[in-house]
Amino acid sequence: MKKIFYFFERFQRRNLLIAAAILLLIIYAGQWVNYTYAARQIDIESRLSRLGQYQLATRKAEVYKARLQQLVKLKKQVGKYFFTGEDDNRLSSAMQLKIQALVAKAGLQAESIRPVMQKSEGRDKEEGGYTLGEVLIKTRLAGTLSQFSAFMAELYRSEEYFGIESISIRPYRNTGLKIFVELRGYYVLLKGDENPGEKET
Amino acid sequence: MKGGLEIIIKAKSIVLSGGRDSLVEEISREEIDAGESLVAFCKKHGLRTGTVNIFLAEELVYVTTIDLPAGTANLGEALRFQLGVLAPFPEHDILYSYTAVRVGDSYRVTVVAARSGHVISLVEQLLRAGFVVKGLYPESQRYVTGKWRKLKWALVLPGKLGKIFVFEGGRLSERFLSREENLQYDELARICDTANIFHPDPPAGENFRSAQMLLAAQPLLKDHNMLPPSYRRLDYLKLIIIFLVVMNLGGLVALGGFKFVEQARIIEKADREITRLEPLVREVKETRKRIRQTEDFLELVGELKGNPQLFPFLENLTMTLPEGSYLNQLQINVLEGTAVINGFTDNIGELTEKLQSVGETRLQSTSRRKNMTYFQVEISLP
Repeated sequence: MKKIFYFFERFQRRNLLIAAAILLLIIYAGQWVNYTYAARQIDIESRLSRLGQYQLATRKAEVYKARLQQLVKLKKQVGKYFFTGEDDNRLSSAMQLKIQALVAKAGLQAESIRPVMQKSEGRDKEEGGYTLGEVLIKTRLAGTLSQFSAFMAELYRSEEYFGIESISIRPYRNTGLKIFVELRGYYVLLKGDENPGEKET
Repeated sequence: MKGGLEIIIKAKSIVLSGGRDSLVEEISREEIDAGESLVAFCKKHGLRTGTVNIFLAEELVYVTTIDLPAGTANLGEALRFQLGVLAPFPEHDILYSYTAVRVGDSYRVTVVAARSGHVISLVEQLLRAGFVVKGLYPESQRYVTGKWRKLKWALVLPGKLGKIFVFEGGRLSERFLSREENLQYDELARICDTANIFHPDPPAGENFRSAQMLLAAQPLLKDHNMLPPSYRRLDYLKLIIIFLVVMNLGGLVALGGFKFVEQARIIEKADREITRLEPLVREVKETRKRIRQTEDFLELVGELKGNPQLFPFLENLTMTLPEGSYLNQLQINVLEGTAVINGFTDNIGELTEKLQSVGETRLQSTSRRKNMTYFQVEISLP
């Protein structure tokens, strides 16, 4: 170190040393400024990109709202054909009661009406999507052919939709019939936080 | 012309020089105004330069060296107080300059001084004639050029009292006086500790180098300018460079600051806008999610199959069965799209033929009992 100081004193290079130090300082400061500026520029571009996405999304807000209103209206119309509620068992019971009512209205004798299988289909269940549940109802009935025809007519007229899976008819005694009908009822399971205005039950 | 104008002030004359002694004219100091003489000199030789360097002959210059403590706060101030002691001239009649070199724990200060009365009147004559005086130096500084900056060398200026100057590069380190008329090269080389000794008029047979070699290059004129500040020309180039540097640095800082402020403004504006839009974006996301869920639900509903038209089928089946044919059982499987009928008939051929009009018919089994044919037929639902 002494030799270095001697060199600079001997050859009067102190100013050179100071100039070099200042130059290095300026270069370092320039690099720092440049780096900071570039980093901030990247940050700005990221923010502007995000802002652009936000603006694009909000620009279509009215379109989305209109589309949702249209779909909600359509869903309400469609939803009338399904049982709607928040509890699977209650809905299953409601379906049995409805079938019982139709059978009684047609004059048939219901020997048994029992749900045998339940399942539900739907997308985004975890995210609060709509679930379309299914209940398979096996019925064993007794009556005449005209009563069966009346039952089928009532079933077709029913506001709630029941899909007919199978029908089996065989004679019983001289004028009677034994009728086995498998029906599939559908229901919409609502979540607790869903807009009550959308319930159709 | 290379070199510009130079005036060398001697005891009884002044030497006008142009182009580093390529044009030389010596005139008596008492007779002629120096300014007018220089104007005439320039006119005579067609010189157009307006600046001049003045050199004082070494016999008019007093040189001394002193050591000052390294802790001396202001060397110039310290020298000014001691000037009356250091130089053999009255304090009010003195021009001086100094250089300082750090040696160990002290400063080795070389002071050059001259009587101002010899010079100032000449400087004023030159100024009156319209010349700009760049500096006033000891004559030895004429020979200090950039070519020998990194070497040790010596200069001999002969006279009544011979003067030997030893330079470390461009800086005077020692000065000797000698009464010897014929200075020997070997002796000088030993004393000066260098073989590079220059002489204005090298004696034959000696190894002196010609001082004309030094005059071929431009003088450095960095040390020992004794011209009082009031007579010095402002160094416009230096001022301009400083001004430009300051302006550029200031501009650079201002530009950088502006850029950073601009960035901060954009960031703030973007943040404000993002904060404003965020609730709307959340709302849009929720709306889109509900749209997707509703569409999915409607798609599921759309995938449901409607019930088949059973009444027309049963009516058609009843109407199609031929006489003598009876049904025991009817099974309809909607999912498979088939109806299976069990019964008996007296004419199985007619039955199967007529049932073709109801739907695609497949006879699954037949058996013959009690003069009747019992059958099981599968019909595709329409």
